[in-house]
Amino acid sequence: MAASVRKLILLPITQYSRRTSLSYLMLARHYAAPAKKIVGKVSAQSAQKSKLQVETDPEKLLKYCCGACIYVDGKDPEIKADSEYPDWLWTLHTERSPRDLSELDPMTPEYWVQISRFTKNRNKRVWKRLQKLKDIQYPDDKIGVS
Amino acid sequence: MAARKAVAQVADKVKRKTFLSTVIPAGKATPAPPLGPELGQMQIQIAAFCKDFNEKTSHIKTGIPMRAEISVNPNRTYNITLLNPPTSYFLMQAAGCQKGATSSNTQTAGIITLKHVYEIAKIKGRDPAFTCMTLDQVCKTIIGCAHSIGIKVVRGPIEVAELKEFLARRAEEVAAEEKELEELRLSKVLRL
Repeated sequence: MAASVRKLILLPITQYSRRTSLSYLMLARHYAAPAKKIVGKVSAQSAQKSKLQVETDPEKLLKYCCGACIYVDGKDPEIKADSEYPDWLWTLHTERSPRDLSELDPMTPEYWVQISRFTKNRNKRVWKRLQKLKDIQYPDDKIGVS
Repeated sequence: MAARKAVAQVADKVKRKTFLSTVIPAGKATPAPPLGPELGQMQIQIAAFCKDFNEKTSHIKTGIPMRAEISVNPNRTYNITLLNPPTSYFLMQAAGCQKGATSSNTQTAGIITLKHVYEIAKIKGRDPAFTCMTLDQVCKTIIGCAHSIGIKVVRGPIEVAELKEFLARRAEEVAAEEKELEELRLSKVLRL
Protein backbone atom coordinates (compact mmCIF):
# COMPACT_ATOMS: atom_id res chain seq x y z
CA MET A 1 0.00 0.00 0.00
CA ALA A 2 2.76 2.41 1.03
CA ALA A 3 4.84 1.43 -2.00
CA SER A 4 1.98 2.18 -4.41
CA VAL A 5 1.37 5.56 -2.77
CA ARG A 6 5.09 6.36 -3.08
CA LYS A 7 4.93 5.41 -6.76
CA LEU A 8 1.96 7.71 -7.34
CA ILE A 9 3.87 10.64 -5.82
CA LEU A 10 7.17 9.85 -7.55
CA LEU A 11 5.85 9.17 -11.04
CA PRO A 12 4.93 12.76 -11.97
CA ILE A 13 8.34 13.98 -10.78
CA THR A 14 10.38 11.58 -12.94
CA GLN A 15 10.98 12.19 -16.61
CA TYR A 16 8.00 11.86 -18.88
CA SER A 17 9.68 9.28 -21.11
CA ARG A 18 10.63 7.08 -18.16
CA ARG A 19 7.08 7.22 -16.84
CA THR A 20 5.62 6.16 -20.15
CA SER A 21 8.16 3.37 -20.49
CA LEU A 22 7.27 2.17 -16.99
CA SER A 23 3.58 2.16 -17.81
CA TYR A 24 4.40 0.39 -21.08
CA LEU A 25 6.29 -2.29 -19.15
CA MET A 26 3.42 -2.65 -16.72
CA LEU A 27 1.02 -3.03 -19.62
CA ALA A 28 3.25 -5.52 -21.40
CA ARG A 29 3.44 -7.85 -18.43
CA HIS A 30 -0.14 -9.07 -18.76
CA TYR A 31 0.27 -11.88 -21.24
CA ALA A 32 -2.67 -13.86 -22.56
CA ALA A 33 -3.12 -17.45 -21.44
CA PRO A 34 -1.63 -20.01 -23.84
CA ALA A 35 -4.07 -21.47 -26.37
CA LYS A 36 -5.78 -24.60 -25.14
CA LYS A 37 -5.62 -27.83 -27.09
CA ILE A 38 -8.51 -28.07 -29.55
CA VAL A 39 -8.22 -31.73 -30.49
CA GLY A 40 -11.85 -32.60 -29.90
CA LYS A 41 -13.19 -29.37 -31.42
CA VAL A 42 -11.49 -29.84 -34.81
CA SER A 43 -13.00 -33.26 -35.42
CA ALA A 44 -16.43 -32.07 -34.24
CA GLN A 45 -16.33 -29.10 -36.60
CA SER A 46 -15.38 -31.23 -39.60
CA ALA A 47 -18.18 -33.66 -38.78
CA GLN A 48 -20.78 -30.90 -38.40
CA LYS A 49 -20.18 -29.40 -41.87
CA SER A 50 -22.64 -31.44 -43.89
CA LYS A 51 -22.67 -30.96 -47.63
CA LEU A 52 -25.80 -30.57 -49.72
CA GLN A 53 -27.06 -33.43 -51.82
CA VAL A 54 -26.39 -32.82 -55.48
CA GLU A 55 -27.53 -34.50 -58.67
CA THR A 56 -24.70 -36.53 -60.23
CA ASP A 57 -26.39 -37.94 -63.33
CA PRO A 58 -25.17 -35.81 -66.29
CA GLU A 59 -28.27 -36.60 -68.35
CA LYS A 60 -30.55 -35.25 -65.65
CA LEU A 61 -28.34 -32.21 -65.13
CA LEU A 62 -28.71 -31.30 -68.80
CA LYS A 63 -32.40 -32.16 -69.09
CA TYR A 64 -33.69 -30.36 -65.99
CA CYS A 65 -32.51 -27.33 -64.08
CA CYS A 66 -31.76 -29.40 -60.98
CA GLY A 67 -32.36 -27.84 -57.59
CA ALA A 68 -34.49 -25.05 -59.02
CA CYS A 69 -37.63 -26.30 -57.29
CA ILE A 70 -37.15 -25.80 -53.54
CA TYR A 71 -40.64 -26.96 -52.53
CA VAL A 72 -41.40 -30.44 -51.30
CA ASP A 73 -44.11 -31.10 -53.85
CA GLY A 74 -42.98 -29.85 -57.21
CA LYS A 75 -40.66 -30.84 -60.00
CA ASP A 76 -37.55 -29.18 -61.36
CA PRO A 77 -38.27 -27.15 -64.50
CA GLU A 78 -37.35 -28.85 -67.75
CA ILE A 79 -34.86 -27.34 -70.16
CA LYS A 80 -36.80 -26.60 -73.33
CA ALA A 81 -35.80 -26.21 -76.97
CA ASP A 82 -33.91 -23.13 -78.15
CA SER A 83 -36.96 -21.58 -79.76
CA GLU A 84 -38.84 -21.31 -76.47
CA TYR A 85 -36.30 -18.92 -74.97
CA PRO A 86 -36.17 -15.18 -75.73
CA ASP A 87 -33.77 -13.85 -78.34
CA TRP A 88 -31.85 -11.58 -75.97
CA LEU A 89 -30.69 -14.66 -74.04
CA TRP A 90 -28.28 -15.62 -76.82
CA THR A 91 -26.67 -12.17 -76.84
CA LEU A 92 -25.55 -12.35 -73.19
CA HIS A 93 -21.82 -12.25 -72.54
CA THR A 94 -20.77 -15.55 -70.93
CA GLU A 95 -16.99 -15.16 -70.76
CA ARG A 96 -15.14 -13.99 -67.68
CA SER A 97 -12.95 -11.61 -69.68
CA PRO A 98 -14.46 -8.23 -70.63
CA ARG A 99 -16.29 -7.75 -73.89
CA ASP A 100 -14.32 -6.92 -77.02
CA LEU A 101 -14.82 -3.32 -78.20
CA SER A 102 -15.46 -4.45 -81.75
CA GLU A 103 -18.63 -6.23 -80.57
CA LEU A 104 -20.12 -3.14 -79.00
CA ASP A 105 -21.94 -0.27 -80.70
CA PRO A 106 -20.42 3.22 -80.16
CA MET A 107 -23.96 4.59 -79.92
CA THR A 108 -24.58 2.67 -76.65
CA PRO A 109 -23.31 3.73 -73.20
CA GLU A 110 -21.83 0.24 -72.62
CA TYR A 111 -19.21 0.94 -75.31
CA TRP A 112 -17.96 4.06 -73.56
CA VAL A 113 -18.11 2.48 -70.10
CA GLN A 114 -15.88 -0.31 -71.41
CA ILE A 115 -13.50 2.23 -72.95
CA SER A 116 -13.20 4.09 -69.65
CA ARG A 117 -12.46 0.77 -67.87
CA PHE A 118 -9.75 -0.10 -70.38
CA THR A 119 -8.13 3.33 -70.14
CA LYS A 120 -8.19 3.26 -66.32
CA ASN A 121 -6.41 -0.10 -66.26
CA ARG A 122 -3.95 1.03 -68.93
CA ASN A 123 -3.17 4.23 -66.99
CA LYS A 124 -2.47 2.17 -63.87
CA ARG A 125 -0.05 -0.05 -65.78
CA VAL A 126 1.67 2.94 -67.39
CA TRP A 127 2.03 4.70 -64.03
CA LYS A 128 3.65 1.64 -62.45
CA ARG A 129 6.11 1.29 -65.31
CA LEU A 130 7.00 4.98 -65.15
CA GLN A 131 7.69 4.60 -61.43
CA LYS A 132 10.01 1.65 -62.11
CA LEU A 133 11.82 3.63 -64.79
CA LYS A 134 12.20 6.58 -62.42
CA ASP A 135 13.68 4.29 -59.75
CA ILE A 136 16.25 3.06 -62.24
CA GLN A 137 17.15 6.47 -63.67
CA TYR A 138 17.17 8.42 -60.39
CA PRO A 139 17.79 5.93 -57.56
CA ASP A 140 18.79 8.72 -55.15
CA ASP A 141 15.64 10.74 -55.75
CA LYS A 142 13.58 10.17 -52.61
CA ILE A 143 10.90 12.82 -53.21
CA GLY A 144 7.52 11.39 -52.35
CA VAL A 145 9.01 8.50 -50.35
CA SER A 146 8.73 8.89 -46.54
CA MET B 1 -44.38 13.46 -15.39
CA ALA B 2 -40.97 12.65 -13.94
CA ALA B 3 -41.81 8.91 -13.80
CA ARG B 4 -42.87 8.88 -17.46
CA LYS B 5 -39.65 10.67 -18.42
CA ALA B 6 -37.59 8.11 -16.45
CA VAL B 7 -39.34 5.21 -18.24
CA ALA B 8 -38.73 6.84 -21.61
CA GLN B 9 -35.06 7.32 -20.76
CA VAL B 10 -34.70 3.66 -19.78
CA ALA B 11 -36.41 2.58 -23.00
CA ASP B 12 -34.06 4.78 -25.04
CA LYS B 13 -30.97 3.39 -23.35
CA VAL B 14 -31.91 -0.19 -24.20
CA LYS B 15 -30.49 -0.16 -27.74
CA ARG B 16 -30.61 -3.62 -29.19
CA LYS B 17 -29.97 -4.89 -32.66
CA THR B 18 -33.26 -4.81 -34.56
CA PHE B 19 -32.41 -6.36 -37.90
CA LEU B 20 -30.66 -9.53 -38.95
CA SER B 21 -30.16 -10.99 -42.41
CA THR B 22 -28.97 -14.62 -42.38
CA VAL B 23 -29.05 -17.91 -44.20
CA ILE B 24 -30.68 -20.74 -42.23
CA PRO B 25 -31.16 -24.31 -43.50
CA ALA B 26 -34.87 -24.96 -44.03
CA GLY B 27 -36.44 -26.98 -41.23
CA LYS B 28 -33.16 -27.14 -39.37
CA ALA B 29 -33.08 -23.98 -37.29
CA THR B 30 -31.24 -24.84 -34.08
CA PRO B 31 -30.43 -22.74 -31.02
CA ALA B 32 -26.75 -23.60 -31.49
CA PRO B 33 -24.22 -21.03 -32.69
CA PRO B 34 -23.97 -19.16 -35.01
CA LEU B 35 -27.73 -18.57 -35.00
CA GLY B 36 -28.31 -18.68 -31.22
CA PRO B 37 -26.03 -15.84 -30.09
CA GLU B 38 -27.18 -13.63 -32.99
CA LEU B 39 -30.81 -14.02 -31.98
CA GLY B 40 -29.90 -13.57 -28.34
CA GLN B 41 -28.38 -10.18 -29.15
CA MET B 42 -31.77 -9.13 -30.49
CA GLN B 43 -33.40 -10.56 -27.35
CA ILE B 44 -35.63 -13.03 -29.18
CA GLN B 45 -36.79 -16.27 -27.55
CA ILE B 46 -34.53 -18.64 -29.46
CA ALA B 47 -36.49 -21.86 -28.97
CA ALA B 48 -39.77 -20.21 -29.99
CA PHE B 49 -38.07 -18.69 -33.04
CA CYS B 50 -36.66 -22.03 -34.17
CA LYS B 51 -40.06 -23.69 -33.89
CA ASP B 52 -41.68 -20.82 -35.80
CA PHE B 53 -39.04 -20.92 -38.54
CA ASN B 54 -39.22 -24.69 -38.97
CA GLU B 55 -42.99 -24.49 -39.29
CA LYS B 56 -42.74 -21.76 -41.91
CA THR B 57 -40.25 -23.80 -43.95
CA SER B 58 -42.13 -27.10 -43.66
CA HIS B 59 -43.25 -26.84 -47.30
CA ILE B 60 -39.63 -26.53 -48.41
CA LYS B 61 -37.20 -29.42 -48.77
CA THR B 62 -35.17 -29.76 -45.57
CA GLY B 63 -31.59 -28.57 -45.58
CA ILE B 64 -31.93 -26.00 -48.33
CA PRO B 65 -30.28 -22.74 -47.20
CA MET B 66 -33.03 -20.14 -46.95
CA ARG B 67 -32.33 -16.44 -46.72
CA ALA B 68 -34.29 -14.97 -43.84
CA GLU B 69 -34.60 -11.37 -42.73
CA ILE B 70 -35.50 -11.05 -39.07
CA SER B 71 -36.65 -7.74 -37.61
CA VAL B 72 -37.68 -6.93 -34.06
CA ASN B 73 -40.56 -4.59 -33.22
CA PRO B 74 -40.48 -2.21 -30.24
CA ASN B 75 -42.98 -4.43 -28.45
CA ARG B 76 -40.48 -7.31 -28.60
CA THR B 77 -42.30 -9.31 -31.28
CA TYR B 78 -40.29 -10.40 -34.30
CA ASN B 79 -41.07 -10.75 -38.01
CA ILE B 80 -39.47 -13.31 -40.30
CA THR B 81 -39.35 -12.56 -44.02
CA LEU B 82 -38.44 -15.64 -46.04
CA LEU B 83 -36.61 -15.06 -49.29
CA ASN B 84 -35.30 -17.29 -52.04
CA PRO B 85 -32.10 -19.25 -51.39
CA PRO B 86 -28.84 -17.58 -52.43
CA THR B 87 -27.91 -17.63 -56.14
CA SER B 88 -24.85 -19.76 -55.43
CA TYR B 89 -27.10 -22.56 -54.16
CA PHE B 90 -29.11 -22.65 -57.38
CA LEU B 91 -25.99 -22.51 -59.55
CA MET B 92 -24.17 -25.29 -57.71
CA GLN B 93 -27.24 -27.53 -57.82
CA ALA B 94 -27.75 -26.94 -61.53
CA ALA B 95 -24.08 -27.61 -62.27
CA GLY B 96 -23.97 -30.66 -60.00
CA CYS B 97 -21.05 -29.52 -57.82
CA GLN B 98 -21.03 -29.75 -54.03
CA LYS B 99 -18.08 -27.43 -53.65
CA GLY B 100 -17.22 -24.27 -55.51
CA ALA B 101 -13.78 -23.67 -56.97
CA THR B 102 -11.02 -22.72 -54.52
CA SER B 103 -9.54 -20.37 -57.11
CA SER B 104 -12.26 -19.31 -59.52
CA ASN B 105 -9.74 -17.67 -61.87
CA THR B 106 -8.02 -20.94 -62.74
CA GLN B 107 -10.42 -23.71 -61.71
CA THR B 108 -13.76 -24.73 -63.22
CA ALA B 109 -16.16 -26.23 -60.71
CA GLY B 110 -19.04 -26.90 -63.12
CA ILE B 111 -20.53 -26.14 -66.50
CA ILE B 112 -23.93 -24.60 -67.14
CA THR B 113 -25.80 -23.41 -70.22
CA LEU B 114 -27.56 -20.09 -70.74
CA LYS B 115 -30.88 -21.93 -70.57
CA HIS B 116 -30.12 -23.01 -67.00
CA VAL B 117 -29.29 -19.39 -66.20
CA TYR B 118 -32.65 -18.32 -67.62
CA GLU B 119 -34.55 -20.84 -65.52
CA ILE B 120 -32.72 -19.71 -62.38
CA ALA B 121 -33.37 -16.07 -63.30
CA LYS B 122 -37.11 -16.76 -63.49
CA ILE B 123 -37.03 -17.91 -59.86
CA LYS B 124 -34.55 -15.37 -58.49
CA GLY B 125 -36.24 -12.53 -60.35
CA ARG B 126 -39.07 -12.73 -57.81
CA ASP B 127 -36.68 -11.63 -55.04
CA PRO B 128 -37.35 -8.13 -53.68
CA ALA B 129 -33.74 -7.20 -54.54
CA PHE B 130 -34.51 -7.62 -58.24
CA THR B 131 -37.87 -5.79 -58.30
CA CYS B 132 -36.96 -3.08 -60.78
CA MET B 133 -34.64 -5.18 -62.91
CA THR B 134 -35.47 -6.77 -66.23
CA LEU B 135 -34.86 -10.49 -66.71
CA ASP B 136 -31.76 -9.95 -68.82
CA GLN B 137 -30.21 -7.83 -66.04
CA VAL B 138 -30.98 -10.63 -63.55
CA CYS B 139 -29.32 -13.09 -65.94
CA LYS B 140 -26.21 -10.92 -66.07
CA THR B 141 -26.07 -10.89 -62.24
CA ILE B 142 -26.37 -14.67 -62.16
CA ILE B 143 -23.61 -15.09 -64.75
CA GLY B 144 -21.40 -12.85 -62.63
CA CYS B 145 -22.15 -15.00 -59.57
CA ALA B 146 -21.32 -18.12 -61.57
CA HIS B 147 -17.94 -16.68 -62.51
CA SER B 148 -17.11 -15.95 -58.88
CA ILE B 149 -17.85 -19.55 -57.86
CA GLY B 150 -15.92 -20.97 -60.81
CA ILE B 151 -18.87 -22.24 -62.82
CA LYS B 152 -18.45 -21.86 -66.56
CA VAL B 153 -21.41 -20.56 -68.55
CA VAL B 154 -21.69 -21.90 -72.09
CA ARG B 155 -23.91 -20.67 -74.90
CA GLY B 156 -24.34 -23.82 -76.94
CA PRO B 157 -25.62 -27.27 -75.91
CA ILE B 158 -23.37 -29.59 -73.90
CA GLU B 159 -22.83 -33.23 -74.86
CA VAL B 160 -23.73 -35.77 -72.18
CA ALA B 161 -20.43 -37.61 -72.63
CA GLU B 162 -18.50 -34.33 -72.28
CA LEU B 163 -20.26 -33.48 -69.04
CA LYS B 164 -19.73 -36.99 -67.69
CA GLU B 165 -15.98 -36.75 -68.36
CA PHE B 166 -15.82 -33.30 -66.77
CA LEU B 167 -17.67 -34.45 -63.65
CA ALA B 168 -15.32 -37.42 -63.25
CA ARG B 169 -12.25 -35.16 -63.53
CA ARG B 170 -13.72 -32.65 -61.11
CA ALA B 171 -14.48 -35.38 -58.56
CA GLU B 172 -10.82 -36.43 -58.66
CA GLU B 173 -9.66 -32.82 -58.18
CA VAL B 174 -12.01 -32.30 -55.25
CA ALA B 175 -10.91 -35.58 -53.61
CA ALA B 176 -7.24 -34.54 -53.90
CA GLU B 177 -7.98 -31.10 -52.41
CA GLU B 178 -9.96 -32.56 -49.53
CA LYS B 179 -7.13 -34.98 -48.75
CA GLU B 180 -4.66 -32.06 -48.61
CA LEU B 181 -6.92 -30.07 -46.32
CA GLU B 182 -7.47 -33.05 -44.03
CA GLU B 183 -3.70 -33.57 -43.76
CA LEU B 184 -3.24 -29.89 -42.93
CA ARG B 185 -5.88 -30.08 -40.22
CA LEU B 186 -4.38 -33.22 -38.69
CA SER B 187 -0.87 -31.73 -38.72
CA LYS B 188 -2.15 -28.67 -36.86
CA VAL B 189 -3.84 -30.84 -34.26
CA LEU B 190 -0.76 -33.00 -33.73
CA ARG B 191 1.46 -29.93 -33.46
CA LEU B 192 -0.63 -28.56 -30.58
